[in-house]
Amino acid sequence: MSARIYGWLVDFYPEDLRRDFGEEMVLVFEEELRDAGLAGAVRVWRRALVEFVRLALPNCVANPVLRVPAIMLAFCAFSMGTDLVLLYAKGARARFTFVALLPTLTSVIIPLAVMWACRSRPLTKLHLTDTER
Amino acid sequence: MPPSDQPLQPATFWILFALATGDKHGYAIMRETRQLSDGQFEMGPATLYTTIQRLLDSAWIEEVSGPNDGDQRRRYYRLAKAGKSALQSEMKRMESLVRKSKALRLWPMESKS
Repeated sequence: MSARIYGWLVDFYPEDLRRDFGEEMVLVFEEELRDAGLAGAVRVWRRALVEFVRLALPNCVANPVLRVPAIMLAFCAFSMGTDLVLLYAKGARARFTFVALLPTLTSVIIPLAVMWACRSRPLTKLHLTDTER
Repeated sequence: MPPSDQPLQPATFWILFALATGDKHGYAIMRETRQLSDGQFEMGPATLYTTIQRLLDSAWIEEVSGPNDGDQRRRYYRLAKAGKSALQSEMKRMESLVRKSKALRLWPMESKS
């Protein structure tokens, strides 16, 4: 399941990287997770998400179709990260933490879903001329 | 790629260093870098393959065929002549830094106890 989710994230990386190394990236991620075990899985996922923000999001922002949801995602991810740190620092109870994070988590999932749906749609589709319509 | 007098990026340096010990596939490179750096340097698959892509383009590393009985999805990489030379330049630069810091009595650092 984790490898499948990572495979979806790989779809947002630059096309040449995805084409040449996409399969290997998922394979390496899978092996890393397997070797890290349950305890190390959080570390592996955290690194994968940091890489996503650092390498894939700029690529999405460069694509006019994905720009708005990518900026939304970056903003929401930052907001969620801050919430997590604050809640952790305050020693919040698990139930409270979950309730507080639910809206922010949703706000990350929605732009991500929009980006995934639009990822391979060329810009020209959005700018059809009257004759093309 | 930076000119030879410029420090290498950490991911570039560790990948070249890992490949200096022999041909490896992606995940083996990742494990070797972790071991060589005593766990101080870690990278994920995206950093690994972005750097590998750049190194292949600059002919610092090359793709080679792996063992016949291995996983066919894996690709193996080897340090090329240009990569070896870049790695040696980086090592020399580091050696020079350590030598200078020793001459200035900055190394080894004195512990404050």
